[in-house]
Amino acid sequence: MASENNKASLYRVSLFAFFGIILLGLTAWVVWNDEFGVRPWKHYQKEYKALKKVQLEKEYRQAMREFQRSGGARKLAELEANLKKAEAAFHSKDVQQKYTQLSSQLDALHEKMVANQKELQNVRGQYLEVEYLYTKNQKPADKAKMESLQKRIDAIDARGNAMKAKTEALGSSISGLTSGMASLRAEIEGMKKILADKKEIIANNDKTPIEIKQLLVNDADKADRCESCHIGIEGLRQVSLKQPYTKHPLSFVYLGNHQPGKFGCTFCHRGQGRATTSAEKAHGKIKHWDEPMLDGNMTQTSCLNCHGDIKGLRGAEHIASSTELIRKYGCYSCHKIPGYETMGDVGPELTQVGTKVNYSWAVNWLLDPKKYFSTARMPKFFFTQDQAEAIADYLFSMSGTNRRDVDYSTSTPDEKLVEQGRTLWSESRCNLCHATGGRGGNHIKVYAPDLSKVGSKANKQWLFNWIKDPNKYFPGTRMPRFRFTDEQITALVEYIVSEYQDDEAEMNYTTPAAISAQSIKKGKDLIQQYGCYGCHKIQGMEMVQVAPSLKRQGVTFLRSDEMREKIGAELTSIGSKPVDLLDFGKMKKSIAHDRLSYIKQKLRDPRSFRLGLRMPDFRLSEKEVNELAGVLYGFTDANVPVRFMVPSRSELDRMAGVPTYKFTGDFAKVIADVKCTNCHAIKGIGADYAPDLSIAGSKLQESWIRKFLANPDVIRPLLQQMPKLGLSQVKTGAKITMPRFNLGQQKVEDTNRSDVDVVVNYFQQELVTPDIPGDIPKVADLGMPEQIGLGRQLYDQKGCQACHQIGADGGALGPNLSDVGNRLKPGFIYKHLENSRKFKPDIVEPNYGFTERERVFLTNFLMTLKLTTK
Amino acid sequence: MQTKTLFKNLAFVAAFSGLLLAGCGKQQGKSGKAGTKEHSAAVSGADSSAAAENLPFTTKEGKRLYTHYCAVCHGDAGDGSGQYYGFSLTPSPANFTDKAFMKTLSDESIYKVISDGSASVGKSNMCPPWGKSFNREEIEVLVSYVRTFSGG
Repeated sequence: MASENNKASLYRVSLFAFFGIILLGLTAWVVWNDEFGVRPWKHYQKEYKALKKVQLEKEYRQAMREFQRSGGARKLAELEANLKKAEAAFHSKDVQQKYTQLSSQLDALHEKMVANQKELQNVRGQYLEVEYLYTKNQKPADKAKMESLQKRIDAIDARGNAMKAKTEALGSSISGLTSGMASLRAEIEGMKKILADKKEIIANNDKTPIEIKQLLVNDADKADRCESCHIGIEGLRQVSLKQPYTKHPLSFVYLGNHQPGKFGCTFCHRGQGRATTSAEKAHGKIKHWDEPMLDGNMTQTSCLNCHGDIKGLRGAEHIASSTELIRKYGCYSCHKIPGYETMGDVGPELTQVGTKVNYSWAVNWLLDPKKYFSTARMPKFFFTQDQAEAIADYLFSMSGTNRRDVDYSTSTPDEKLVEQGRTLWSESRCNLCHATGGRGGNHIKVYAPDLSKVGSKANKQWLFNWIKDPNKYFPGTRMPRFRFTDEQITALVEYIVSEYQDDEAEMNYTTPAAISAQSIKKGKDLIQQYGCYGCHKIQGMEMVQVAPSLKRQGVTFLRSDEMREKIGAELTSIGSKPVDLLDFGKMKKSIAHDRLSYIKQKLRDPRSFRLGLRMPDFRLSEKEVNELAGVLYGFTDANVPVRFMVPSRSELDRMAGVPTYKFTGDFAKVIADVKCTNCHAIKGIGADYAPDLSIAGSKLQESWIRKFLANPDVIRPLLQQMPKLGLSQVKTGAKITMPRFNLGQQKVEDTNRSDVDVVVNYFQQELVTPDIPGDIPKVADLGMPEQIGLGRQLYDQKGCQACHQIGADGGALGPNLSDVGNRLKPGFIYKHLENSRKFKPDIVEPNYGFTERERVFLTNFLMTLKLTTK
Repeated sequence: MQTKTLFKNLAFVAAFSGLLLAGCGKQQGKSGKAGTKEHSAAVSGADSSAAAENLPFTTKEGKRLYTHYCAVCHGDAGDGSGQYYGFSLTPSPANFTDKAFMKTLSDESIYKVISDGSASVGKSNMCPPWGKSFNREEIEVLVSYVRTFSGG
């Protein structure tokens, strides 16, 4: 019985002990987990504090050593000794006596002054009373009383002033006794302060509390606790290069313009700002969190949320160059993309294509454009031979032609004409835009087609008409109209056709063949299905794809392009589309299940998700895929507070009612013809391939403009290789300079003026700025020869010759200055030397910080540099 | 009677603690596992392209600035041979790949040369002062980028 009882109690005790231990362990674990497990930021803040302390102490020691080395300690001791001496002198008997005497005098005087002041107030009160009575009753007795009171007031005032003067005298003689000590004390204090301040910073660092740090931005719905771990992100000092302790890179741009307190972190970086329990959660790199954190260049995608103008925006260089790809490949042709609504067709007009190209070429091009030339922008649609032929049939039938090829490889060219054409070709610098045989070409900014095999593609008649007037065949083309005579064009065409033949070209229809109606029908269907009309103007396709919203309203035909539905999905908010709405299809298992991976896969292999997709393959490089995905990721419907918005310049102008700049008069006609804005930007219109001409009238001399237009010469010899232009990949023998458009040989349409006169006149009337003065300041105290001499000295002293050339000496990075006195206006040089970035924000030339006199000297010197013309 | 209540209490405590354990454990386990898995998948799936993509932002920014402003003379590889015409400069531009030479320079002195020009440290005047064109941070970025040529 007893043993049974014992047994039962042992059982109970051990059970109790078992659960007791579990409970104890559990409690301990709960406490630990709560303190450390789910609060990693505590550890980070402690470590950051320790790292900062080490750094601060090191600085303190350094300052201490510096203090010792520079004899600071000795000086301090000296000062302190002097102070002691001064104090001793002060405490000596007669000085003390004098001091007490003066002090007591001063005290007595103070008392008197107070009494005086009281009396003054009293009498003033009486005066005011009498004055009131007098204004009310107008009794002469009151008037007399007032006068006597006024006399008393004046007397008291005079007494007060006398006492005040006496006090000042007394005060200065007292401070004469103590001032020596005061200044010594201040000096000692100042010397000690440098070190004391450092000590205080260390103490403050020790005292910083360990706590959650939250940035609350109400209007953007942000409560970001990122700084709980990224504790040094806003700091000016780099405490550690280890994450999460670093400071924000380029904070003068990113944080300087977007104070964290007002913008938060996740507005640009995304991620899960509220999370504090682990880095993965906070960075949003977990399942079911659609917005993983953006870092590095990818963060720049967020600039698109608020900034209207990305180009030239400091800190947005990566995204700015990436957005170029949208223009290059014309994504907006098939997709609705904000900001690209008004862009023109990316591909050439195809209404008369049958009169232009060989049928066999067209079919091969449709099958695989990159096979014809590797820089082709047209994507591959994966057409079968039949399909390609059907599309070509439709296009050719619309041009009123049948299947036909013209083969020039068998005919013998006119050698004389070819030679003449060759000279014209190089004189006109056709290679500047068009590549031939891997030489030249600017497919990066101008996207002109490669002409290496054009002789087997286009026919002579078409080439002739095209060169004669490109606008006639394709209004809005970038090809300029060179002012050639008919004879010159004939020679040029003869040269092009004979020189640029494709040896592998197929010519299946040298005997023309008819086109079947069935094939035309099939071609039309295909064009509608794949939306070729998005990029090309195609006859008979003006009335397709009515937008569903319009269909519902009963619209069955289209009048204009605006009503036409884009064939692809709208991309306005692709960067914030919920991942659940993305159709991963067959790729579900092969790629990561997030938005960015989806976008990249779509760009890499558009039809890989499932059968029946229509997007063609652009065969983008991996770099292009990443860049383009970055841009698309920035198209979001994020909640952007109005105060964040930075509208584009054009939008601001529109809001302010400023009309957009338009070229006017005859100059507009010249621009439409010569297409200056292919390369030059003028008042915000055009490309940044060549120098901005917006202020060319204030910058350039008239005679030089005329000379340059007649025979463009190289101004910046190295420019062709500047990597910014992306030209380094292109092997080119010719220097990059402007083509010769043969201006001045013709009159502008409907007028009697030469086109050169029109251009020069427009430059001088319109393209000027009040920022550039006509004349530079005069330096009166020096003669011109001395000034020029000093300018020359400065030129040598500052190392200008490292980049600029005068005669045969100097570098070739900046413009050659041998003839600068004939080229530039002095006002421009003067202003350019003051701040060259004002005219070109990313100019390589640094700001030397010249004084005004130095700028005048340099300008005067540079203006003497003139080549004598023959 | 007493044992019964004790049992009841124990059972309650056990159940409660078990619940707690389950709750906390689940939370803890999930964050670690799911997070790393997702992250690695994203990395391997998205970017096979080049280490260049994974460089820190400051290095990329340094490279961008260096290529635009400095490489003309100092060369893309930092060897001072000058891709464009550095070879014809006298004295020739500094060679940043020379480890022994770079060791003699402190970050502060590199900063000074960039900011105030080579003439400020008693060398030729060929390298201009950039201090008025660049922000302090930009020069710091350049200093650290210049260091990368000699291996950090």
